[in-house]
Amino acid sequence: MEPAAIALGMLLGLFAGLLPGVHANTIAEALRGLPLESEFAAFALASMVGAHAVFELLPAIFLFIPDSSSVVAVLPGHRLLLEGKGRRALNIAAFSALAAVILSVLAFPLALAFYPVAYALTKPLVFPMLALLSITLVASEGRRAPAALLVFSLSGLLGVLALETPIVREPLFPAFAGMFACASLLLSARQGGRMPEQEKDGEVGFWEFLPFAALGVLLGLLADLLPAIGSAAQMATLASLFLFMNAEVFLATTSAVAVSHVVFAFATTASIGKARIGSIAVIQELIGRGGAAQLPVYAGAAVVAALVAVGLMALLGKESAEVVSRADARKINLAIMAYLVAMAWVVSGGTGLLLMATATGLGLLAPLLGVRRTHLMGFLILPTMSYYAGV
Amino acid sequence: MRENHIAVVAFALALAGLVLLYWLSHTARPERVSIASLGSDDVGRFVEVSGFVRKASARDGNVFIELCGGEACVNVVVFEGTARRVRGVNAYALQPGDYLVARGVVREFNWEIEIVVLSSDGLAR
Repeated sequence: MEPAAIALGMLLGLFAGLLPGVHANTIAEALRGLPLESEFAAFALASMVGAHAVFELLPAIFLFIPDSSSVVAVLPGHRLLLEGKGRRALNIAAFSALAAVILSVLAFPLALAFYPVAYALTKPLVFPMLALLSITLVASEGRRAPAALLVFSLSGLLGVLALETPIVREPLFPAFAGMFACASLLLSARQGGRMPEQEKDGEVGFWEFLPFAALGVLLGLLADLLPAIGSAAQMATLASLFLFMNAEVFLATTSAVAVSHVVFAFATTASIGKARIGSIAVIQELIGRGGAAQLPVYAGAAVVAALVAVGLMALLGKESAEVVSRADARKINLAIMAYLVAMAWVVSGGTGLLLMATATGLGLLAPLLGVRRTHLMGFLILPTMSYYAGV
Repeated sequence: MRENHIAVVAFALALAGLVLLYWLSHTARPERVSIASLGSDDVGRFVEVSGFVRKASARDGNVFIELCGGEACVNVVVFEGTARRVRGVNAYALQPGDYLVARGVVREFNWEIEIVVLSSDGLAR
């Protein structure tokens, strides 16, 4: 392994993780343009992917800004922050990420054998599974099911328009930023004032969340199997329907899904030739088609970077929680909002802003109608179902 | 503002946005370009190219076409969900030498420019 490449990858992962809208694939493209040796660039990319998976949890918790894989972590993270438990939220995410890295490494050889067999068997089941997920998701709201159906359907329609037509370039950022970040910021602006004082003690017990981190790893393994957009987020949503999950448990599970999904993406690339992450496709290209056997070594670089990132995140998180406690919520909200609008414009242009505004309307609608914001995942679920149904 | 008023405004915003996006998706017309002119700067653009099929293959239900015009070639990708509903052209039966018009979004995959067909009218003879 190349220590300098890993250090460079860590820095790039930190940059891409902390600045939502700066996609890891964009960095991969930029890195490709530099005069670097293929092996060096591949190690740097591998460690960037590992570090990014961990660092992206920070803005999801403290700024409510999700990326495609941390999209569901923003909900419990936000709730805990507003309860003054931002520090604990961060420790839960860090612990789960750490446990997920270790458990994914242990399960890696099994994953290499599992994917070729399971891939062929699973494909026909994707549509019925997603249909069942959607029905269960809506029905779980009880007497509010009609409102949930409305939010789910409108989000699905938005997903179809954004993902299956050519009108918006890079639609995921403006859509998720609108649904989750902008909507949360607008709702919290009504409350105004300061962020609640964050509790100093956010200690997390070893056994408290280990079972849920393990569940997250299992879901991460399955998420990489299903060739659907945003499947890591969908798997966590699915789990939350069948198991009782409070905000802390949900955060632990989703963090583990997001991190293990990255480790297992190396296994799918090596075993069935399917790179579930764009940056891993670039690594595959850098090391050549015959380099599949070396992929576990690059997965090792990603793991090392993720482990270091967990340590750094715990340190950064301590500071972040203190900064949040002292912050003027109104000013922070305004700054984040300005950043999101500017990034949506840069990433997706004018239609991106229209998409963001529409998504914000839906993001506001869910809590105002008294239903969970997980129904917004119709944005990913419906286009995926339409893909498998051939509609 | 009361919560139910905000809910009405949010609903109206979402609905207006959806209608506008739907209208845009139906009025968007691809830009006619030559295969040779395609480059990294075109990523994200909605384009129409034409040429002769050099190679066409199907993998996991997805169709991969190498389309050539003049000296240049470009990969055209039609994912399974779209390939099954393309009108007028059987994407799975394309042969080398067939003349084809492809409409789609320019993407970059594995360092190569490709056109991803997104709609049922994305391929024509």
